Amino acid sequence: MSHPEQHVEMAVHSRKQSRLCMGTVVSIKVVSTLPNQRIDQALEKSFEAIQFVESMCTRFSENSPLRRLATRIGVPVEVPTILYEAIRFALEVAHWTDGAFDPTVGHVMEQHGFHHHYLTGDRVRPLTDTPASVSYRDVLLDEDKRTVLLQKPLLLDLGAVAKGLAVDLAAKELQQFDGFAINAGGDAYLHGKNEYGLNWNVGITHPVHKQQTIATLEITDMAVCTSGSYERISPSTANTHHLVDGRTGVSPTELVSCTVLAPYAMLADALSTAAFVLGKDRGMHQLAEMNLEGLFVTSTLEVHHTTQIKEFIHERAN
Amino acid sequence: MSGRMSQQLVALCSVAIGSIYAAGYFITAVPTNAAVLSAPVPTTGSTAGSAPVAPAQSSGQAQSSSARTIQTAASSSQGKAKTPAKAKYRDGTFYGTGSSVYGTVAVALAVKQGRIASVQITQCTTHYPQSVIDPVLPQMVLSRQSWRVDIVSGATASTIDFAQAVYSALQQAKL
Repeated sequence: MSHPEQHVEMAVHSRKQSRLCMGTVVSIKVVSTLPNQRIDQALEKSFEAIQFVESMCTRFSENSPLRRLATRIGVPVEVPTILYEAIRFALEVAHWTDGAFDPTVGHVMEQHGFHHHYLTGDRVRPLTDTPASVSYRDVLLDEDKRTVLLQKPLLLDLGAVAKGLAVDLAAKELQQFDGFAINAGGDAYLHGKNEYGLNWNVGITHPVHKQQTIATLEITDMAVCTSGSYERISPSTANTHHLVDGRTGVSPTELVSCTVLAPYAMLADALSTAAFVLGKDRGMHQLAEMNLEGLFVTSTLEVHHTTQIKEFIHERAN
Repeated sequence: MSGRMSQQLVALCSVAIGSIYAAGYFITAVPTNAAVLSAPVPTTGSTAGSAPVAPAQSSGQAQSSSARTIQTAASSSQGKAKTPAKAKYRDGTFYGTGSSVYGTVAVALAVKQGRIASVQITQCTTHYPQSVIDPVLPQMVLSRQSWRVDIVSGATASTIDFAQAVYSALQQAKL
């Protein structure tokens, strides 16, 4: 290993690993001429990064820093860097989308029955304080001391940011390779070329016929995130899924699937959630304002997309 | 307007990822105690703690675990001091099951000297035969000392059932 000039380059080959993380199956595929050992080491680090984000930002473990933060209302709390950055980004997106995207919906999610650890079914203890009406404006950050202050009793939900962040950190561990594809249940990042030397194809799940795709995008060096209301349905509240309007606490129904392309998965994830909440017209407007590409599917299965995304659409059903 | 908004958010992403990467994944992870359920900490902690007890692991997985231990030690002095001494599980045999629409997997998990010593699949009523996940998954639990196993390709549900079974057995074994 210490003599790179003696290093025998292998033919281009790929390796794939899948693990259970963040309530979903995360798959990573690496394409490289480097030896398998090198690839496996990097894969291990990628999964560690993902599990680390999960441990810090999960709402579903009693002792996660995110949950402990919710038990300390009205005082500035020092939090781990990763949690601070995730919260800061979520608040920034909340600001830009005027609260359509809002990370303070944690208690609303709990009320809708989203409070079970994905693997165990263990229910986390609900927070005792009755939440007043809250919004992202009730969360204050101190940039110098890097503290978070919750002004009212509230529980943050970083679901729409943390998964993207985990994908971005995993991607950073894999930069050395010719190509890689990370897929974390709706959040994907693609780099370089696949094992055939081509751009990666990313299928967007058909909201009704889930074994099929409604469109396939051909992309590289980009994140693609899809927010779909068909994924997680509230076990307790009618007509409710895991995407909630921060301003009303209600699940919007105009769109059933919302895909956004962006340079970072964290951005694509937050924006696909925001666009989902905003609906077709305002969501499209938001993406146009941000120079991002997206593809929406309405509840009547009409497909709408930004004009530039045509260049990426490889194949489209019907 | 448009350029500014997206530029600012893209810059923020880049700063966030840079500073998290610089801070390291381990330093802040370890001080949260072993009770963090879905954290990677238990894996790292127990490997660090038990490595001296059983240094001669043979599988390829053991290599990557110990590599991780070294990294933890190097990057986190605070956590290192806290975790190794304490065993996380009490000795005994513990049982767990995991179910999905495809069936149920049950395991008997033995802990010796605070360490997962064996995992036996006692029931497997999933569509696929037990051989799809046995012995690959029990071995992975032993080498990683964690319920976090890789998905067996094509047998995702069986893998999740198995992980769930091991997880619930470990919950009972937890000190």
